[in-house]
Amino acid sequence: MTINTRRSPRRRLAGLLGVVLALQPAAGLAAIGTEPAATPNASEEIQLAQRRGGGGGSRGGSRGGSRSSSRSSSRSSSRGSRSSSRSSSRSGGRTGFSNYSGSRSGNRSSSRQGSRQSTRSSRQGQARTNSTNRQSNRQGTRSDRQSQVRNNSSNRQNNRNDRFDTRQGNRSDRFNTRSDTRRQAVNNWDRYGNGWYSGNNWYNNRPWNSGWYGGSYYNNWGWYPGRAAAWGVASMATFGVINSLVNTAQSNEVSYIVVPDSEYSLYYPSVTATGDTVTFEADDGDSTARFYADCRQGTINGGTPNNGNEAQLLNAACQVAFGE
Amino acid sequence: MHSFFRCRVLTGLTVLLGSLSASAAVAQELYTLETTCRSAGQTHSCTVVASNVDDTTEYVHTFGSQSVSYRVIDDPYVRIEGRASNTKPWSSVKNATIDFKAEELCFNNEAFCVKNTKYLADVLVGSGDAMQGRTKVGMVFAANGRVDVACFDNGCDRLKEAIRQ
Repeated sequence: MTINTRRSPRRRLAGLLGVVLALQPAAGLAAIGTEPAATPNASEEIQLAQRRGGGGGSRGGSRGGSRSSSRSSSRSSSRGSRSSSRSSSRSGGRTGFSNYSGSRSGNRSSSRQGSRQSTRSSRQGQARTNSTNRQSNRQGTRSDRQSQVRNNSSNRQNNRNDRFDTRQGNRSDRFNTRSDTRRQAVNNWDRYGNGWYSGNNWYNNRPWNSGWYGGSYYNNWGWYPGRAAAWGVASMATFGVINSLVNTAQSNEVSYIVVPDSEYSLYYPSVTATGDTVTFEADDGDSTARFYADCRQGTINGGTPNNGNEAQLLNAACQVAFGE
Repeated sequence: MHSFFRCRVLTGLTVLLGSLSASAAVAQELYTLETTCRSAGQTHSCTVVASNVDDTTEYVHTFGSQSVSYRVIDDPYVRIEGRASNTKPWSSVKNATIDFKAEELCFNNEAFCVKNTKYLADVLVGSGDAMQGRTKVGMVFAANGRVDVACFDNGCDRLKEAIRQ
């Protein structure tokens, strides 16, 4: 009996705690529901900020919880790192349609990543070997130093010069190799098959309203040519230049053009447009990312270009989409 | 003692449920667009106001004295609901199509269409490779409001033909 009377308040307390814990999320909701009415500024701002969501994509994630965060992160990664760092000028509304388009999670860039990593690890291996060699050299030098005090200074200096030269040579080689690979995007010609972009008259077959873009637009972009001078951009590539690059790429069965005066390669079959907006894929020498641009406003991923490379890429994509 | 606790819990529940039902919808306007809408074969100049309302995005089209609204819900799955006036209840649309070249979005076999030269690009921008080079995209909704067919380009024309047969 005494045991029973001791246990039952404890049980009741546990039961009550259970109810309170179960009620807590609801209490939180109630607080969210009632507070905006009383104090519209602070909590509403927080809600709106959450509503806009991370990633700045076209679907501002408004749901809380792990589900929305995992979705928005996968989306932003599929669009490339650049877009997430920029503020988007898109509407931020749900369209419903985007969910049915399927998204690719950058297979190509991951394979590139793999090759880059293997290069890095081989480079690291080389560095380790170098360091081992240097270590043994150093020990040898030390014993020499003990026996030949007079010569050690010049020996050391010579060794140092040699090492410096070798290292500098290695570095230049590596740099040159990187420069070589930098300009080569992955030729995925087979991926696209035939489309509007095929053939010498490709610009007549663009499936959207085209033929309006040219110098009169880019010369009127608010940031151009003010910033172009600072970037050393003398002018944008004309349609004639882009047209000839596309035709040459096609005759060589290459799916990209190297954008003039830029480190980017543009996958011209990936260009899609509606209104003034164009979306496309481009390779910056390291990885491939998806971009969007407004050819009338002169923005790329929602902002003005950060440098001459991006400006030329923006212009090239607009020429492919709308140029004449 | 028992009844005291029960009473407090019940009071708490009543207060909580009462305050939950009183919670107001949070709306955030995204954009306003002056454009044209097509309804029953006639073109009207109309105003589109897009807003995020709770977990949906609402598009209100006002032309003349009419106000036609659509809302997109994407959780737990994509739904598009419409209503012919603000007083009517929401109901699922039968289908929705976009023509990127015409820059037009249509619902229910083009019973209502709206030109959106500025923000239709959201769909392109928010989509992956499957939208590359597309000029048309469409969705057909089942009776339960869930998408049961999605179409692209000529596939949308073929789908329309199939529906007519």
